[in-house]
Amino acid sequence: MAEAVLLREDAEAEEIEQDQYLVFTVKGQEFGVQAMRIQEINAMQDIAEVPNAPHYVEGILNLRGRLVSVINFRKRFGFEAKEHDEDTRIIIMEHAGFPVGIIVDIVEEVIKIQGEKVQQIPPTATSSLPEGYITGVGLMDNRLIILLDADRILNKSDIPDALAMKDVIDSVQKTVAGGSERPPPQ
Amino acid sequence: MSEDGDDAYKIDLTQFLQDYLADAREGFQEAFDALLALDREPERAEFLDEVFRVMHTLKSSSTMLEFTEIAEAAHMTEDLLDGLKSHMPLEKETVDLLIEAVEKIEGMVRLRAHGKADESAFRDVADRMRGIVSIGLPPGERHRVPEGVRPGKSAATRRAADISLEKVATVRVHTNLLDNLFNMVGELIITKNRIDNIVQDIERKDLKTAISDMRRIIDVLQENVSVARMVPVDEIFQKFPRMVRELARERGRDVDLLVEGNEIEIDKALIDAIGEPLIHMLRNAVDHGIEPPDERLRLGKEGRGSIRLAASRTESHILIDVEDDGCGIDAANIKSLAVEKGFVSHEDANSMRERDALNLLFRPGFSSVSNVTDVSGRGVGLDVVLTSARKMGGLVEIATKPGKGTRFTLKLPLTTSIIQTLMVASGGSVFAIPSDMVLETTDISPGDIKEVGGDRVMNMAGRVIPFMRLDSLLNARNITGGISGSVVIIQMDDRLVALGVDEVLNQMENIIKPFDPIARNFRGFSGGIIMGDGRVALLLDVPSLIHVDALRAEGF
Repeated sequence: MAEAVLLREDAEAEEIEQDQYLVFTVKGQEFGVQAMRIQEINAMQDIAEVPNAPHYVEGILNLRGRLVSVINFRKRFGFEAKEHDEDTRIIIMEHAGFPVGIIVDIVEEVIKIQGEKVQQIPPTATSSLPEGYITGVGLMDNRLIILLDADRILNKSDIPDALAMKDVIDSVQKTVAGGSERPPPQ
Repeated sequence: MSEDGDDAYKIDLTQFLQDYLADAREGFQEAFDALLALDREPERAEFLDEVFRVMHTLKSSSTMLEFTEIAEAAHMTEDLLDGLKSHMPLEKETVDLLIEAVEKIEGMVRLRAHGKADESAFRDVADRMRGIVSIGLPPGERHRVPEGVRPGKSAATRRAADISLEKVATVRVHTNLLDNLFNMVGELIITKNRIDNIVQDIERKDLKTAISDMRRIIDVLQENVSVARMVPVDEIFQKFPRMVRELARERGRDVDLLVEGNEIEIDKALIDAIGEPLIHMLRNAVDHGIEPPDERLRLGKEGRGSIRLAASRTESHILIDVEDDGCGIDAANIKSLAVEKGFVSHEDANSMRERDALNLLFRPGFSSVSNVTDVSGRGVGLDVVLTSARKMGGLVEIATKPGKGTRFTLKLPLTTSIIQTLMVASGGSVFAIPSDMVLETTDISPGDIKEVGGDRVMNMAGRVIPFMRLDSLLNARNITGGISGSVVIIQMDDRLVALGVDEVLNQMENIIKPFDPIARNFRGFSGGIIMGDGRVALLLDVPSLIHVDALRAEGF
């Protein structure tokens, strides 16, 4: 927990703005969630396994005396599992008034993605996911960042099909790459 | 607390309003109590005086705050009360009108609490009052306060007059502050457990003494903070007489609610949680326990039924009884209905003990089966009662005699957040079991376990009880599958279950940490514990884990 980065302290010092995103990587794809929703980012730590819980639940961790459920982003969206390594991070995010943890491969940075750089995705490209999961795609230089609605991805009641996110990534890459005359992302 | 210090004038007014509201709330409760007493004994005029006093006090404090519509309504009610003294004993309808009037005024006060006012709210009641006695004296005219009635003072006057004389023995504390204190004590206990862990191998007498002193201080601190969180059950009980009266009227029953033990104190976290199950139990008693008056008379009972709502405490539990003197429950009816609806087989029903038959009532879906109320005399929502009781770490018991009545008992632990737990290792993880469910622990060898019809059982002092391994119940990854290790004998009601674990670790006092909304959906666990080394151990919700209902059906 020595590595914990407390974003909330910054938030109090200077208001985190709507268009600031925390960018993280899962299986080579960059995703963004609104930075104002993030409480802190922790290195991997001991997580108590919960028997009989949904498969995407990694377990429960002790966050300074509070019990916090931890979701594994890979398992949540049907990517193959990966051993945790030194880059693995737990993003602690506020959901329905409680902190919730999400395990991702790598946490990159907090960046500003201004409105004009956010491209809306035609619904057909994301039709395999429940509506509203993806709020847009941030196009920054050569990067393509899928912007997610934090609450929707944590909501138990609309779990997408396991492979849906992969389809969406393919589809989004094609749509965006075709629609704007940019070189396709690596 | 910076927002508290910016505007002294505003705060003063808010404080004044708070006092007004608190006094009013207390007054309404007294008025309702008096009116309900009057409902039982309509010839006793002193109950009218009680209500009069409350109205009088409310009138003056409302005038002071310029809540004129409330002052006027209180004034009219005073007139009515005055006039009614020559009409004793009162008609039931008149008592109803009085209750309605006080309820209306209570609603008007509530509006004011939100900064709103309704000038016309009382008009309809006032019209009906005029039909009984003449009311509406000139507003300036002062009422003669009945003899022996102490004129009330508003909170403000009282404060000014008495503050220099009385020593402050109590202070109001925000519940958030109490919660924080309580959580900090929890942290302290966790830290203490951690220190215990670290120092157990260090042989230093002075260190041991210091730690045992610290332990004692923490115990006292914990006890005091727990006591500070206690509130009398009356906070919730006081709502019930009116509710039961209303229900009884709707259902054409005549019912007295006798409340006992309303001074018993319970943790404030429980106060809100017991409301819903108690409402269910009381409604159930009115709906399906108490017979209609004519039927009661025919049966040689008093026409007016009674429901006893009683709180009491034992060394480890709070008991809340809801007991009616109604028709009781016939276990045979329950059984035949359960068979009819496919809940149990005919053979199982025949061999079923009465107690288990009664427990069928708590099965989800059983009580909502159509016609159940007519056949069994029992009905809706008992599974809800059981679920809420279990969430609080408690249970529900039934005792009944057909024709005589039924008693439901809600049995709750004294405190919910800090409990003794037995720590066990199973399938590679550590779990906590509430110690009050554990009868004993013992080592086993394969010879102790027998297979009977596909189920494993063990012999426990001459009694055959079901045996199951915790790791297989939990579908743990490292199931040892064997029958070595230890068993924890779990007691629920009078039912015993042997739970096989890899190892029984130790017993310790722990603070139960609540789950977040995601974890609340995990079946089989009701919270977690942070162990001395900082790791999380899950608290087993044993009844839901071992499917108690299924055991019942199997005759255990």
